[in-house]
Amino acid sequence: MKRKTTFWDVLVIGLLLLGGLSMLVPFFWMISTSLKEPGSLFDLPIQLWPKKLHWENYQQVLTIVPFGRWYLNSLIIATGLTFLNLTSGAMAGYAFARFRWRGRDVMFLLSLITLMIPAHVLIIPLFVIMSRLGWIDTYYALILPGLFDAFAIFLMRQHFIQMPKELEEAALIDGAGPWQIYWKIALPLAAPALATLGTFTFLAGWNSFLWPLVATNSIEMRPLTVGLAVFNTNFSTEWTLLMAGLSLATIPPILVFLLAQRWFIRGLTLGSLKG
Amino acid sequence: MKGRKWLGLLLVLLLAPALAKTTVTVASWGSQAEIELYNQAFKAFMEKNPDIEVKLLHIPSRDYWTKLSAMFAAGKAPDLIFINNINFPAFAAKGLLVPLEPFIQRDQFDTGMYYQGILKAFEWDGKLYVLPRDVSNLVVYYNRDLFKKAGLPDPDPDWTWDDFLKTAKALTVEKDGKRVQWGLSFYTYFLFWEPWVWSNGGRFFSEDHTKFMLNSPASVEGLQFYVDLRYKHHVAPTPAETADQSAFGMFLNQRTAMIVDGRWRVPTLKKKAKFDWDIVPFPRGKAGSIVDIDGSGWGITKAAKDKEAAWKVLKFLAGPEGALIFTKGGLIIPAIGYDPLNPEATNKVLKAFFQPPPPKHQQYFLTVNKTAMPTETFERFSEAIGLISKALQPVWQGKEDVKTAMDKVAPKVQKILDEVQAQRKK
Repeated sequence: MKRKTTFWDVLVIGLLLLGGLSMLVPFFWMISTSLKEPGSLFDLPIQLWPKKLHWENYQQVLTIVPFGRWYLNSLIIATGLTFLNLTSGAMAGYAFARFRWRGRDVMFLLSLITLMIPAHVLIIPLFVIMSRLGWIDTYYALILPGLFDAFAIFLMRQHFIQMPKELEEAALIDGAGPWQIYWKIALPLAAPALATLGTFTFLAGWNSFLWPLVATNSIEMRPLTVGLAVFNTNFSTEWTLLMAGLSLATIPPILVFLLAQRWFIRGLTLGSLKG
Repeated sequence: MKGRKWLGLLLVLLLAPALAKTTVTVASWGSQAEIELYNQAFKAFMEKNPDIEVKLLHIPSRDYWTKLSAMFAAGKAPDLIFINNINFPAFAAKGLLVPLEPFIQRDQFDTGMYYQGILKAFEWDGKLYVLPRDVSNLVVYYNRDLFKKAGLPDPDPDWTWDDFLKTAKALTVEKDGKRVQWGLSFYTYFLFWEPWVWSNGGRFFSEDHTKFMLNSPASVEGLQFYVDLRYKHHVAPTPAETADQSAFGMFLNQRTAMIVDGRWRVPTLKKKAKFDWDIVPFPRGKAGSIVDIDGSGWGITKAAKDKEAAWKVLKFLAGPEGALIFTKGGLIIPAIGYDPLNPEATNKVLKAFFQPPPPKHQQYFLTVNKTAMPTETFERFSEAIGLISKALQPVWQGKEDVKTAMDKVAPKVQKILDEVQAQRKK
């Protein structure tokens, strides 16, 4: 059965390898910059890798700013958002996919329309609401506005629609109620879609900048994205410190991707993203 | 029961002074170093005013104005905001700030210590709203090693545009038919070409913002002189010759011998420059040597709960004591000059500004303020300058002359000015 390696295989693998490596270049540059002597970034000729490794950049970023606290905030926000989004998205998606109720399609359309509102337009009204509730500068303001997300509902609905109905019908005949069917049959089968959605949501939460900036007042409540912006001012950027911070900040998203990857790729091939 | 009542009363009495403490929040952007300077200044203030607590609301510069707008909209604006003169008109026109005259007159606060140019930039409708912290202006930085190599003496501080062009030509070096060194680095951001317009007697707008004037003969001639440095005399690198280096990077790497730039470059040059460098005022055009004096300072917001306390904080931060702390940080040019009414305190600030050279002639950072003028900003300046900058794109690429580009954009900018006039009359 073993196929011979042809010229085309070599070419394709070579090209893929090249593409993969070029994806790694920004990461390499980030890490290399994070180890350079402050201010030497624009020296000519360009240094690909510093001769002397300046690990003190990392020590500085960990000590001169509350880096640990920011890291924790980012983790709380990203996981909180992911958890809420998966829960609400899956439930709403299931309801839109499986139940027949008056106004269902109109509701679905309305929720899709919210996708077309640019985030910047929502900032000020959202801020007004949050400050009336007294939630500015708390995790509530950072997480709860993301409770409902039309993209999550849409993705989950498409997935549930594609699932064969027979499985659920069989459970119904065995006497299971709607909640049981959802919880025991439909949700476990939706694992690939959940992993996909979870990764997206985690990344979006981890990378969010504008809303956390607007919704926090104290330096301690900031996530990493906003916190690290202190190294980037009008006329100068402390690249080495910024990159040291970012190198550490990329670890959780990579871990999440690796964990979800198995399901993620299966989800893609299953066509849960289709439609 | 009775005992408990007494205990309660005692508690109230003990807590009362603590409860009476007013909090003043100051919003500002700034680097980590600046945050620490703020904390120093607040500490010094609170030692003198134990009844007021000052808190910093630090906002990263990238979305500073977005965040402030949201806070104003929600009625949760901070008591004092740090603001620059470019964004100031938009805030003042909306009535978000408190006029300072009543406080200034009552306390006989001496505004004569500030450079009048920057003070004027913070006036709206004839009233002052902001006390300035710092000014930024432009000077010519030059590489003395390259000057010596070309057999040139240090430039005369009273030099003219002609002298400047001759110098730049002498500093442009060709090797095997290819230019390898240029007279000056070329910036295209508006703050850097304003001096070429003004020093030639031109303006962006008429003083009352009724008329677009960048297409007037004096403005066009001045700006065209700047563009010609690049495309006619070839003493500044073209975009192709610049490749992906920044204007400042080229100066730092000795590819260019001069750059028109601000005080904020000094720390980097001190640390990184491998050559002898100094500064000299911008060359004199038909109307003199007029560079921009822009700056930032603090204003009291309408939303401030305790305006008296806010004024106290403002007076301290922008006064000689606060200025001394921020000046010692080494990042700014203080907005306070020498004041004969208050010689001792203002002298201290000036002394703190002078740090060990280079640059040897750092007094020029202060002397240019006498003739400098602020950017001609108004309520919708950011829109107008956006249009102008876009229209200048082909000019920076050598595909169009200044007159054509400015005539083309004139009706669009004029429309904004007309709308602003109509709005003001309301």
